Amino acid sequence: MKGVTVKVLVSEKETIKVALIGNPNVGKTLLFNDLTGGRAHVGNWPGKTVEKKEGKYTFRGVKVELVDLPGTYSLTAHSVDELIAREFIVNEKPDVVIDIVDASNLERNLYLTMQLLELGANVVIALNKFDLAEGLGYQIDVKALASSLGVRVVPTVATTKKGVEELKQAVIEAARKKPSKYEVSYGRALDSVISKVEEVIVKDPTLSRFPSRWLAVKALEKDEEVLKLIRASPHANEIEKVVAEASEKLGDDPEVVLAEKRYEIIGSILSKALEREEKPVTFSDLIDRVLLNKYLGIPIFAVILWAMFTFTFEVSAPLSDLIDLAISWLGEVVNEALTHADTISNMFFIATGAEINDFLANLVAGWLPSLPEWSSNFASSLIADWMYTNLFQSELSSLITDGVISGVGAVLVFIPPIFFLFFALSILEDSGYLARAAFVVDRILYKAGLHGKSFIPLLLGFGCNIPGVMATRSIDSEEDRILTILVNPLMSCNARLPVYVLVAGAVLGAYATFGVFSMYVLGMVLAASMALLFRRTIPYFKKKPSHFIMELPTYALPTARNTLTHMWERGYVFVRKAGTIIVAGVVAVWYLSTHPWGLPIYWSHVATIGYTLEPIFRPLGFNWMSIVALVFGFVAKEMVVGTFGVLLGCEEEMLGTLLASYVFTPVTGLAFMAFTLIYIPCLATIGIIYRETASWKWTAFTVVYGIILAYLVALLIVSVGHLLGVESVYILNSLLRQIAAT
Amino acid sequence: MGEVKVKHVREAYVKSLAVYSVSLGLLYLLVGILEFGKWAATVASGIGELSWYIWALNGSPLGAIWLPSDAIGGFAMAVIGSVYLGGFPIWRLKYDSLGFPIVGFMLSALYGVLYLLILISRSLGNIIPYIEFTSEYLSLNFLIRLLTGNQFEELYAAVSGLLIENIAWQWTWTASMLRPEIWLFIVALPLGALAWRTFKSIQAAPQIVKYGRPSRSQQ
Repeated sequence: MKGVTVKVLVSEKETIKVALIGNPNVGKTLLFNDLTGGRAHVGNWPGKTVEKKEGKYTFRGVKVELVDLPGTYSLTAHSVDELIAREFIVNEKPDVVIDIVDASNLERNLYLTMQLLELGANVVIALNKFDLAEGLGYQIDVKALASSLGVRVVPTVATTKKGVEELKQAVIEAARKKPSKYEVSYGRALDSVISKVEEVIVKDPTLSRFPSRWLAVKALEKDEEVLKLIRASPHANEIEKVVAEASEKLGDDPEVVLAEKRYEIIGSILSKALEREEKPVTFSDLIDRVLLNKYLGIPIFAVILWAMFTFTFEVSAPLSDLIDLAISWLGEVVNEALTHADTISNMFFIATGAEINDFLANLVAGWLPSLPEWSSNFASSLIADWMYTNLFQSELSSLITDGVISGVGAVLVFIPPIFFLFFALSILEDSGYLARAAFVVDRILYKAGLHGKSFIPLLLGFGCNIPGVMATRSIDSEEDRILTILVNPLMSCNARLPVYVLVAGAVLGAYATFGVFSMYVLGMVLAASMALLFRRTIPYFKKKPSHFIMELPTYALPTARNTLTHMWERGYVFVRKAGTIIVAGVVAVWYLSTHPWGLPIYWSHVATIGYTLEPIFRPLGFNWMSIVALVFGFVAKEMVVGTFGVLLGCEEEMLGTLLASYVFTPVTGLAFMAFTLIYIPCLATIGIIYRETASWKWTAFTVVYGIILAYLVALLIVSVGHLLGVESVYILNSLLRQIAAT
Repeated sequence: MGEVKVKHVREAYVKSLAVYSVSLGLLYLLVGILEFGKWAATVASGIGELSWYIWALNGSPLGAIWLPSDAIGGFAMAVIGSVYLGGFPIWRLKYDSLGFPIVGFMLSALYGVLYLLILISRSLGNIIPYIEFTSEYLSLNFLIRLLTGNQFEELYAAVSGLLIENIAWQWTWTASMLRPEIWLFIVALPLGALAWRTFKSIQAAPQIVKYGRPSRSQQ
């Protein structure tokens, strides 16, 4: 690619609006970051759960506001992403639309380009992955392509920022000029049909904000949104009559006929602009033959996924331990600082202590001027002493160390495994493998009523349900996406593992490993079962999962920059959201467990809650301590273990013994583990579910069905245990041991 | 894809690639079965029955080979072995099976590098007790005692703490070096190079094709 030098007259500062569009996996995010320097404002499209990204940059005095439209293959009305892109171009009328085209897959990508030109958009094509195309043996005549389409075409390589300056230049030039009207000719027969429809449409001035030819084509394709517009028109009957006649004249399904014609036009353009070397065998073909193999595909996927989880939790473990250590140290330091507040103030802030004393003395004297000086000094000293003793040394100390620092620490400990997980996922995604994985497991998931793309979010749920729920954004169909979100919390996340290990180790003895493993299996079985049940019973999900159609991207070597950028973008959202919710939750829990202040924990508010709920859980064999632990587990599942420690008042080493002696039997222990697996997701997950579904209804449904299902499964375990006599044998053995001991 | 005939690739290289791939496949398969079997025996011994599994692994010469007891790790090794075995048709110059040793090598590299990273991580984990011990002397209590008196006693305790306290360096992490995933990856390195070289040789004779897409009417 040669550099281009063009003189541009910039007589005044101005702002232009530019939209970024393209097929999925063309490098849109990377190019967006290249243009804006990575600075973006992320929000949601109004009324939708689809992410909206906006950024800015300045080039030669011209301010550019960049909007990243959702990745889409076309501009039909079949999906939310396509509608958002289309509505933005029609309603907001951006000055320029940068269409990012994958140079290694021109035929597929130019379909969207054709539709943009029909819509009358002022298009600049960024011919991305140009190096990859050259590596594959493609020889693209950029000038011929630009001439055929009537738009500027700029070769780019987003990974190395090649061509980005030329692209910025082309955008400014395009913004200066009006877009040339590009009329897609579908052949004489089709054009006459389209013209007839267009003649009727132009009679209605309310439809004038859309290009009339585009409206005519969309009406023939029976585009739902366009048909809605036409029905609202005063000329609706006339337009519909002409459309019906035209469709009859076409014979075949008009949408298919028009699509075929577009591909013919693309073919004729590419015949002038593209040559390639035909290789006897491509790397992609060789690898796909193995990774998509009927017998080896799924085992290979399982192997890669196991490696990913092992990397996530084992390699990040020392970092988590260090953070845990740092948080503990910080808590101790702060606690000591508050305890020795008077000592420290005497040593370093003697004047400050006296100043506080003087301030209070003046305050008292101001209120009660008739009091002698010695009495106001005495009163202020009492107040200062009371503050230090009763507030700064105990309650405030407890809030800061046991509440805030512990709460923040609980979030920070998660950061290494979460970022490691996203790092590994980014590598899998950027390499092109993840798309193949979704393709391989689609067969199995379809039988469970789930979409092929559900697999990745569900598997992410094994690490943490939060990124699992967030990953459902890759699912196009809203129904399939919400169904996946509803069952995602049933995947046993890492936070539940300490609970399993503690309880299973305490009461299941030699079967502890089986007990823990059975929880993971139970989670998967329940997720598939509930997905099937919801699919068959809830009208919203009644239709079958949408067909899984996906373009397999070419394999590419992930770059460190891309991978770290993706890792940071996903991980930061987790830190921000989970941190705010969990910190607030922990402070609330601290308050409930420490008040009324100064009384034993059995008299605290949480104990009251536990005793109040105990009758409901008596059939499950849970006592008030288990219930309180479950209540605290709502904030974060790890708190279940910590709660038992506080309630039983012992070190972690004794916890198992005390649990086995006073709290659980093998059956009730197993039931408690199952309850922990299934009941309400943690507070942070609920927050993310609400954010992703934008619906209190679905969020509440997740909570309610989780509690009901957890209760039923736990009850089933306890009932079966009683029937098998396990409980009786255990109680008998315990009694015999106690008799022997005396 | 069909059979690809390429005349300019040396047949000796290709046949040795096939032999290497199958041999490595058998080795991976064997290691995988043994790892899984060892896990199964461990579980069986927990139940208290079928203790002859333990004899089979520990009493026989095979029991002398150090292998981890790992169900899923064993499964992973078996899968990698199966992938390598898929390279057998290369012996008959069927280059479309070249993907099997390439993918097999990628999986070997994945697990080899993973366990090397785990090795490093476990060695770093041994530093934690030392940091924990040191952090006790970064507390305010210690600072205040130092400043208000008895500083020499405290300093002595801090310096000699590492000698007096039982924070001995743990060497157990070195056992991770014996993970079969690591040494099998090293054995697979030449195969990876050979497979890639063969692939590049096959690609050396491309043909120029002009792009064209026939319309439905022309089909």
